[in-house]
Amino acid sequence: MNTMLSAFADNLKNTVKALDITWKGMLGIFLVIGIIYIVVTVLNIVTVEDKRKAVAQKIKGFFKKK
Amino acid sequence: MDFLVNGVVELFSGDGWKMIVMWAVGILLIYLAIKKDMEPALLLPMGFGAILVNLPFSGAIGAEGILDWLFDLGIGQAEAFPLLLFIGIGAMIDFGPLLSNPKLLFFGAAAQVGIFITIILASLIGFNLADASSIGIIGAADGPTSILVARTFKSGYLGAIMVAAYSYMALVPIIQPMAIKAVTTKKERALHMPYSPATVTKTTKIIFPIVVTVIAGLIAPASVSLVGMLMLGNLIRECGVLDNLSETAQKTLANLITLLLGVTIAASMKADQFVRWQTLAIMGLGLFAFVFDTIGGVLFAKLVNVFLPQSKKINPMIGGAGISAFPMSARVIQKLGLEADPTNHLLMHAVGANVSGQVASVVAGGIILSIVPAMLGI
Repeated sequence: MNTMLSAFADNLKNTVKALDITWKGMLGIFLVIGIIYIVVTVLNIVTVEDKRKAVAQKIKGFFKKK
Repeated sequence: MDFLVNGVVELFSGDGWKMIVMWAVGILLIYLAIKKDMEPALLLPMGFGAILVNLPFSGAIGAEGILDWLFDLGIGQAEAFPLLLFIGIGAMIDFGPLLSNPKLLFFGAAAQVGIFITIILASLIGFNLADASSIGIIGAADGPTSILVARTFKSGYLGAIMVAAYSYMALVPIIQPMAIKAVTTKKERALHMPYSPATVTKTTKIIFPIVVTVIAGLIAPASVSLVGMLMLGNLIRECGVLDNLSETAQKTLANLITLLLGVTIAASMKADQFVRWQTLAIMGLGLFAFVFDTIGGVLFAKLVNVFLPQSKKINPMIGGAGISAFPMSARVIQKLGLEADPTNHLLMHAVGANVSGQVASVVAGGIILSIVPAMLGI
């Protein structure tokens, strides 16, 4: 009985660590994917002339207003 | 004349019955490959290899055995076979649909949640953290990543993990529809999504693999060999000056490595290491991981829909395509979409989410390889 309880306690300890891995892991994945998303979005703007001009226009407009 | 019957005697004595069980497993894999056309290039050599290594006094294993030599060389030392296969896979992937709608990247991230839920469950039922992490990564739906993680953590269940990872990948057309239907209504599955791809320049397609390698390498350095090989294959495809090499990587290299990988995996299917209750538990947990990856992706899409106007709502099934099983998962979503409404074509959106799953699963593997050793102090 004691052995079973001790094994269960070990499992619980590991489960708590697994929860720690879970939030850190998901955060890490979303962080990496988020950075890749930003880079791809920027690349899609920078490498397509029409989009580049449109963004440049917006920036110019913003500073003119200021 | 004893030598004539030594094998038969061995088979019917002690743990010999376990070898017969492994023959049955081998025959099942061969059956699935031939009759059901499930990943035949992989399951057929795996099935045959399972029989080969489970013959009494098999000359294919041991110090002089070809399969143990192949295992040591192709998986044991630097995980050469899975990594070389990744070059072929990278060369097959067109990231265009993803690059034209980069928001789909997040579905790949969300659909990795099954990995972590499985790690929690595996820990709860008694696997240590290293083994639990190796088992959870089956949910990445990505054989090479599963092998890398299990090998790095020196898991004693490498054989079962590899078999589960590759078998379930072949079973995606059966597993995913059940999981998706369990969490969506027919009305949700019938939701149309207009496809108007934005222009993606060749420059973007060339820069993308380099950027992904650098970002993944900086944040999850353990994943860099996997990401690197995948992206090298993709760069060969997209650069436009290596068409012959790209074709070779997609066909000859991928086929050859798949054959070698299949038969080499069988080296880890020796009866004494395979026929135990933990193998069944791993098979169950692997299935659980696949199901919860799919459900996680679908629920994430539903969550995103809360914040989107009616005209821009996403078919929640697209989230389910965020697993790495490419292109099976995308095809499943397309089929389910058509089933719900014969005019509902979701393939291109699903392909985008599916290739994002390729990237995210490798990143997930790298992150686990970074977090777990730090936590265990190894």
